[in-house]
Amino acid sequence: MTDRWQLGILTITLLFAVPVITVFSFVFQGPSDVWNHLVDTVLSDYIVNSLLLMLGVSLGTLSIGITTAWLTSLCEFPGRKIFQWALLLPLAMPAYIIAYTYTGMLDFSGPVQTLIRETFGWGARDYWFPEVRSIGGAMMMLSLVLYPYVYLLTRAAFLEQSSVTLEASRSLGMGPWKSFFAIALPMARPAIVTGLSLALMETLADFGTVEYFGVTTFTTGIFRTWFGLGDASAASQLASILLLFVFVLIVIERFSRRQARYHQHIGHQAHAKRIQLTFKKGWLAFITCLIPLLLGFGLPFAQLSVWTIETAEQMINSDFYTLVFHSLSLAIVTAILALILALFMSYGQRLKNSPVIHLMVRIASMGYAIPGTVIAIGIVIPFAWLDNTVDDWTRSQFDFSTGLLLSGTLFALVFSYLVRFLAVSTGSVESSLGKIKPSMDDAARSMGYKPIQVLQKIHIPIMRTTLLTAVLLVFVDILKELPATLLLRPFNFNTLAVRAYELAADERLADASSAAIMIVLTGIIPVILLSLSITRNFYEPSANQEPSSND
Amino acid sequence: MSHQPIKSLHLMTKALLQLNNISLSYGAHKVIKDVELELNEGEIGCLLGSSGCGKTTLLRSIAGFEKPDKGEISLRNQMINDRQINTPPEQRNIGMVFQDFALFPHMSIKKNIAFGLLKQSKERVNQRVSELLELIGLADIADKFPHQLSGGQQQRVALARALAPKPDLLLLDEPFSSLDVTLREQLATEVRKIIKHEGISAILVTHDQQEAFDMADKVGLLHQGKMIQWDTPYNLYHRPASRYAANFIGQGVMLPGKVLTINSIKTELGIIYGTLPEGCRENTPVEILIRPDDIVHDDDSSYQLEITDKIFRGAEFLFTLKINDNSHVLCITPSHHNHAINSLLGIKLDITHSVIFKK
Repeated sequence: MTDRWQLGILTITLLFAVPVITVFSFVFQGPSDVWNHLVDTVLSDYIVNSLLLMLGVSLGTLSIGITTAWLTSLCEFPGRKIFQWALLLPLAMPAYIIAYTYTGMLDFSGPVQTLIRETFGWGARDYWFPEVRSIGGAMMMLSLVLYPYVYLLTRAAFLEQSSVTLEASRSLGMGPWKSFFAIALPMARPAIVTGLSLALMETLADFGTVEYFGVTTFTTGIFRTWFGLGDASAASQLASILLLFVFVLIVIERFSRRQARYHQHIGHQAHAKRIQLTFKKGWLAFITCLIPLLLGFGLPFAQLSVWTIETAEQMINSDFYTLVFHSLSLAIVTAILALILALFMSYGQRLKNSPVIHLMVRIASMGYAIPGTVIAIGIVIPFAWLDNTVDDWTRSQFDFSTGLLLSGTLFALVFSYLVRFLAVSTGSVESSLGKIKPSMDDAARSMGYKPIQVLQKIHIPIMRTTLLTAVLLVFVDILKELPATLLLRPFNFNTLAVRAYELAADERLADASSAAIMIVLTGIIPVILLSLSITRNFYEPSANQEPSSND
Repeated sequence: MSHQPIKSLHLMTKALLQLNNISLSYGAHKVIKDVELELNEGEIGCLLGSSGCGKTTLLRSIAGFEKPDKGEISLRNQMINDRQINTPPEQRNIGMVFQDFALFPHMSIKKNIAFGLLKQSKERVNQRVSELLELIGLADIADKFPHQLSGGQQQRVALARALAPKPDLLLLDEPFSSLDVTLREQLATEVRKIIKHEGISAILVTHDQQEAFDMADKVGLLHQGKMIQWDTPYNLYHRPASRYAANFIGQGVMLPGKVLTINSIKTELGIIYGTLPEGCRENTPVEILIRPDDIVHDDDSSYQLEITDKIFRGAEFLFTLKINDNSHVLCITPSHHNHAINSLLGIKLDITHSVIFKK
């Protein structure tokens, strides 16, 4: 019985490792002409730009994330209770959507510059205005939507610190602010690093923003080498270098999560008492929290709403409904599949508690860190090979062509989503399963139930809320996903994300807004779920529950 | 060091559960070493020992949650575990009550109890459930949920749930450890009554010897994975087979002495008669286990010992009496014999069966 679980987990893990193995297998192939060309011309740009982006996003997310986390968890000021969940709202905003929106708002014909010209009576060349479509702009956009990762984990760390530790510091002669820098901040460091590494993974995975802003990074390079130059081998080699960056981040993230366990939770003691800010400082704190919320969510959302209303007449038609239906049904079906796989893996892991199985489950859920572009390449290559092999065989045997069975079908797309987002559902299921005492399993077994029946009768009913959450989180992630969908979708099959991308690429920014706002609105669902758990003061750092990937 | 059960008592019954040579290790750590035991139909057995002695692992091996590396387990003459066979827990027909009760939080009490009643008509399920609710005296809370119950009530529901499918054997893993002390004693007797009423054989795991004595017909003392002695509580107390058993069970002191003849020993308290361990000759140094109840208070006795310590226990006093600088004995008296520390207490020996170990 348990061997069947083991075999199943092994099979899933091997299948899910195919994309990464494929990509890495090209490292050992000799360099092609295209590769040599890339090395001579653009590779250094990719590396420098990716590093610069990571640096900029680190600075941005750390400064916004830590400041707001510190204010909302350790200080008392007007609006704190609302800010503590509202600051998560930018998570609902995919980076590429905020990028289109700000471009539309800030470019020459946009409302801001028009207003400046009208106010001062300037002509087009009378003033300088910063170009949003630049690497600096990309840093800003990514920071504005990715800071919640740092905020969320840092805030949880601050809240978990017992007041006793801070009081001990106070009793040893340190003031409240000094204590913060000497005790609270260093204690939260593992959580901060974890949040940052998640934000940087998203940065590396981003395709939509950098593509639109014309910043050449690995993801755009892979895309161009693949589509423009048609060289799968060179694209894979680029992807392997990108994966090396990613693996460094995974190692840092895993390490800090482990560290965090030692740094936090020294029994359940009272939380530190919040510092009551004076009137002036209180309003300063209010503005500090308001700015990222406004820039990361409020303004772009308002702009999207305005555009959606303006273009509703021509954009909201039966084509749009088809688009919504396609997107939603694809996302919901895949999310349910992901949940079934996650249940199978996590429960198998519980039944067969061996280090090998643990490792396999970890490997199968590695996809959350791997950029969609890389996964897409790692799927297209083996699928095309398989299609061709089958086709050749049937042609030689039966004189009949099967055509493309896997590549260019929804199957390939669904598979890529599963690889990318399995970790999201596994994370939720695993942490929820961990809360069910093992004696429950034993009790049901001793009363005559087989392991699979125990899962049906005991675990699934107990976990039903979490399971629903897991489906929702994956659902939203899939809805937002851009690069893998762009590369793998069947001919003429569109999703909301792809439609928004296409319209924006055609400079029809306002027309893109109806698709974009649908994505943002669904993206708010997991934010609400997270907010609920935050206001209940309930948060597990062990769960990979951070939603959203702003590809 | 297994002890043969007293044959004459059990001629008519055949062993229900039989463990042969059970060994189990986690990696290099041997948790259970060659354990043997037999439990008869209708008997309540108990695995007693300090924490880490392997008692829970042994119980889980019987239930089928752990697989022994070696040895055989048979239930009702059916092999459920040996080199080839490892019957999964759901097919063993063994019920279990867990330390944390493991009641299913999403099911009502009724549903919890009915959970193990598979493939039975609704009528029979309902009948069995109400029968059990009646038995545990909780008929009025059938539709409540586990979190609405007190610890003692949860414990009784867990028992009823395990008993519902009429298992061949009931296992109880430290069933009272999460309850407070006053509740424990009362429940132990009640649980024994319920199990006996159902006529089901049971094995209980505990580290509390009072609980073991309250509940069990047979007690197995485990130490470092070995079965030290599998015997009736009476024998375990009065005829401990080893020094470890003598020290672990009950109170008492080891009084040194020297062998005089084939059946007598010279001690500071006079000559004591008894069966000597093998290989004892004249003048072999030995130790005799003296329980507090082996020493009877008698004011007229010629033996007068100095009281060095006394503990008031309500119904009785426990006196520590000094024989010389190196040895002392314990003595229990009814609590109206309130003698002062440093005064003398007259005693006489009343040893019905002396327990003697070679030094």
